[in-house]
Amino acid sequence: MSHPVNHPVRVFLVDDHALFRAGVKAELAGLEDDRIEVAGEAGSVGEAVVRITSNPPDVVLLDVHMPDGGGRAVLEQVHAALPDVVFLALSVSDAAEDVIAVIRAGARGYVTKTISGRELADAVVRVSAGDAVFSPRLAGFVLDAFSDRNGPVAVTDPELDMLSPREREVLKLLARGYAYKEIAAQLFISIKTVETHVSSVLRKTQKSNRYELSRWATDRRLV
Amino acid sequence: MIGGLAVFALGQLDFNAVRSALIAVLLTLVGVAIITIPWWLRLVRDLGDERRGRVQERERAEIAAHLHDSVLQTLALIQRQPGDAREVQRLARSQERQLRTWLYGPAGYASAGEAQARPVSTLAVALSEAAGEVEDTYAIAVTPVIVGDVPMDQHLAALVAAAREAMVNAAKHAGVQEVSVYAEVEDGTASVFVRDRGSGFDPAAVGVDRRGLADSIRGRMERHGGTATVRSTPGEGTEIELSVSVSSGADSAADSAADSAADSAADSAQWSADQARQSAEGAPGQPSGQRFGQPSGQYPGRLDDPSREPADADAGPVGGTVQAHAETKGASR
Repeated sequence: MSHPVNHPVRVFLVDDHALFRAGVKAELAGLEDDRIEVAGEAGSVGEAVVRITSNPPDVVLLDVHMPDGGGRAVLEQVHAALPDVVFLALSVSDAAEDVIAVIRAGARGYVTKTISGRELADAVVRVSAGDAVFSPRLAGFVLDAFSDRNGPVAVTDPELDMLSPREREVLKLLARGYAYKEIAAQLFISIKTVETHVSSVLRKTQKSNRYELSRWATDRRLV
Repeated sequence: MIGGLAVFALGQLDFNAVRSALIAVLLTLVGVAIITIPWWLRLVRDLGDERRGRVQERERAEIAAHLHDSVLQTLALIQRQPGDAREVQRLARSQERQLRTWLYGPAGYASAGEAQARPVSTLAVALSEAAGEVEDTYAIAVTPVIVGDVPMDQHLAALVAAAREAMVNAAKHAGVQEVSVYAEVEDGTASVFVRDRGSGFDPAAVGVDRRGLADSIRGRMERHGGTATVRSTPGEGTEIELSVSVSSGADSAADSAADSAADSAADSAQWSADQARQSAEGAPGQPSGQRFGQPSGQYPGRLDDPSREPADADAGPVGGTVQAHAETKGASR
């Protein structure tokens, strides 16, 4: 998972809109950031699976919504065979269940398409180094998914089915738009510890069998 | 049927045969019913198909109408003023938000069926609307993340109004393109955090005559039993935390009636002030369709035009947002 710093992170774009792929490519190229290079692109699930498998990149920027099953279908067909390829969901979708589904299928983060080129490049470098990338919106979705406001939930594995108070604090600060550095300063912990908490939250979001995580979106109603 | 009648006629001759005649008639009717079963089934199926077709047709028309009214109109507007980056950005943002709400919002097109039948106003809806208004009026990105929800009451309305004021302050004074808004409802408390990474200020140095922070935010929250906390560092940005407890019923309707009267007076004063300013500036807050004929040069930058609000020119990032606000409130008492 960890990535040697001496060669650029090879990024692969998957999005069914050619215009959007072109835009991201131009924006990343315009940064003249030697940490990343665009290694390829695909406009459909089938094309993405073939190209990623034949020449695995370091990071795949994955659209959530596409015909033929979307980003989730790509993950399901590629992730098990190529565990070293890191996926970062990049989408305009606001539907929480879609975003959570892609995370649970193996993506290591979710950012919205309104992200700036600079922030996107940073996010790519961070996921390639093994970090999880939580946009404020994803942090909000995960907080919702782990909440008990629809009544108590059967907790079969406390290790996976509940967030620790510290993880909750970190998530809330992420949702408030804090950067890791700011979270570390606010909670008097190291940036490394913040990263550990975020990775742990990601693992729980992916692995927990909590009823809510598959069903919560439809039950997301009032207190 | 004729057979049945014939048997019946025979029955007239033989009185004992009446019962068997009735049975025969019954059997004939059953026979006819059985023979026509396929026809009945087809009729029911055709009706179902037709109804489904009508529903689909109506849905298609609705989607087409919606896209026409919103997306196509906005694209047309954008083509008319491609040179005004700020206006194009504002239009695109506003359109994106509308489409997003339509698709994924609580009563949205893509959400579960039963949700669509809930016109109840909730904190999430009200806060998203407030964020949208600020986004439209000040041409900055306001991205609300909301965890949990609760039906609106007057205390929450005050919370939303104070949050809106905080967003407006950030939009006007912080000099940023983006403001983060996070709201949560947890353990009987609703909290809103409005945060920018802008110029920041020293909260202790804000003059007492600056009414925006004092009245519209702090005073309003205190009147409703809530709190307002301001954290700001010059050069690093500002975060305003607002919270109020969520009442579990209609317990305190009477005691806060006066408060809400004061609030609404203040609000309407603020709105009319805002509206007046908007019409003076070419009405960026009005429905975009009305702007067709106007030259794009009428939308000057608000953030960097000190002459717009002379009284505010030297205020801190959270300063006297609404002078009219305080004055009208005094007058209403």
